Amino acid sequence: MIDFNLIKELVKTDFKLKYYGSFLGFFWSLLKPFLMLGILYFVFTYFIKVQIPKFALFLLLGIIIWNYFIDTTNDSMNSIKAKSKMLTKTRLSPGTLVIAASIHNAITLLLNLLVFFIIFFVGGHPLGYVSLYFIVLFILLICIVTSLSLVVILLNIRFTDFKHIWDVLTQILFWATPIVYNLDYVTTNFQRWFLLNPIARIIVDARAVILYNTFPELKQIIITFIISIAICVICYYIYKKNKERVLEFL
Amino acid sequence: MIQIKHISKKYYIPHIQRTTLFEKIVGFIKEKNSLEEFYVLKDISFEIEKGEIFGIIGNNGCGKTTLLKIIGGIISPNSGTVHTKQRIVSFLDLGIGFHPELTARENIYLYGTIMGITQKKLNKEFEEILHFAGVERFADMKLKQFSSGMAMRLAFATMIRTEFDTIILDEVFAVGDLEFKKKCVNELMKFKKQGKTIIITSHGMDAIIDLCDRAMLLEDGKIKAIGKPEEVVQAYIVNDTK
Repeated sequence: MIDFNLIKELVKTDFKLKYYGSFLGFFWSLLKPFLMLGILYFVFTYFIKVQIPKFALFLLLGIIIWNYFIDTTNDSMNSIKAKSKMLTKTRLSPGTLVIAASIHNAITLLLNLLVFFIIFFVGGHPLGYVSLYFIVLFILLICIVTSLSLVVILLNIRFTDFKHIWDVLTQILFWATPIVYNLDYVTTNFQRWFLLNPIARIIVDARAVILYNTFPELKQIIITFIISIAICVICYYIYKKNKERVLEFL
Repeated sequence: MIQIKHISKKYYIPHIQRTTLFEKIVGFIKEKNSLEEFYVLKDISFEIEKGEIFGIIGNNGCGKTTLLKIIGGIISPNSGTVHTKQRIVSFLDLGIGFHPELTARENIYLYGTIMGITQKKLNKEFEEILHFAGVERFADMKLKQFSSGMAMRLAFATMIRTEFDTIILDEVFAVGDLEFKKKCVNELMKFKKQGKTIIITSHGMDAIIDLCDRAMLLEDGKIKAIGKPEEVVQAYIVNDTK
């Protein structure tokens, strides 16, 4: 029972509210990954000399995907807090707000990808057929992040200090995800644990197909799907089970 | 017709309130959190006929709003059922969906959509909504610059555009000026003529006696009296002076 009309209106509002009164408006969304890229690129090429081919594009792709995850979870939490009265007094469900936040950020992600590909082609890099697999990864990413957000908002409503914990947790996750480095820098014992993280898997595979024209092994693809679907199902189940009880804490 | 059968709703009152995770962990180690069950509603059963104005009265905290939320499908009861085929719209607080940073126009669209009004209907009736609320000149002003009365009128004007068979109004008459109150009453009478059911709560006993066909008195989550508004109000006053 998803009301698309309502989601459309919420996404529109999200966009409006985010950029109200700001000078650069929507350009902030495009600027943010590049500012991050600038800092990380500088540190990891001049101070810590990382040897990765196409490092700038490598970093940018990782940052764009990572930002979608961070922004969706944070926007979902903010949206719930801002519309708490609506949630307790109308039939609006918190899931709808999460979906709206996710769509809003997916649009930003798409525009960021557009900029990425412009740079990619201007740089004269070839794009192979295997990169079509990225479309699948994109869909998986959106499903995973949206379902994770459903659980994140429940925790955020239930525990007032969850936001601080989430800040720290995402910092840890940022460095535990191969964003500024690739898996070659991780010892083999650790690699297995790193690859339990579906967002890490998506970033690694996305880089493989877009930047290096290599297709992941069938076994790895199957594992990616299993982990992704498991996360979606578990998160949705947790959300369904606890939604009503948690709303009493709002 | 709305049939309410054996509705009970309980909340837990923790004796030590813990809202942060840290407190929760510390509390878990130190002692078990003791929770006390608290019944807001205890085994409530009654019926509301189609096309009547039904009033609910009672002291603060007697369970009025909880009951309305259950009838409106916003929360579900711990036991019991609400039987109805009607489309119910609830209006539990004025201007709830409104965002101070958005303009009146944007707020009408957002709030209207949340209440289930289609885009087409909103486009068509936008002017009428502004007119009813009496804020035509301020359509593109941010809501934070509105007075609370204006915002409330806007909310009411938007809400009555929803398509419903039953409308739930919680304390609508507590706010708004005389002229707007008159407008509201007129609107309610129009609904009644169309055969729509109206459920209201109010602390204004005059409004209950004037408007309602039947009324109900709630006390500590139980039905104390139900029937003719005059008698129910009388029971409430007698009860209160005791």
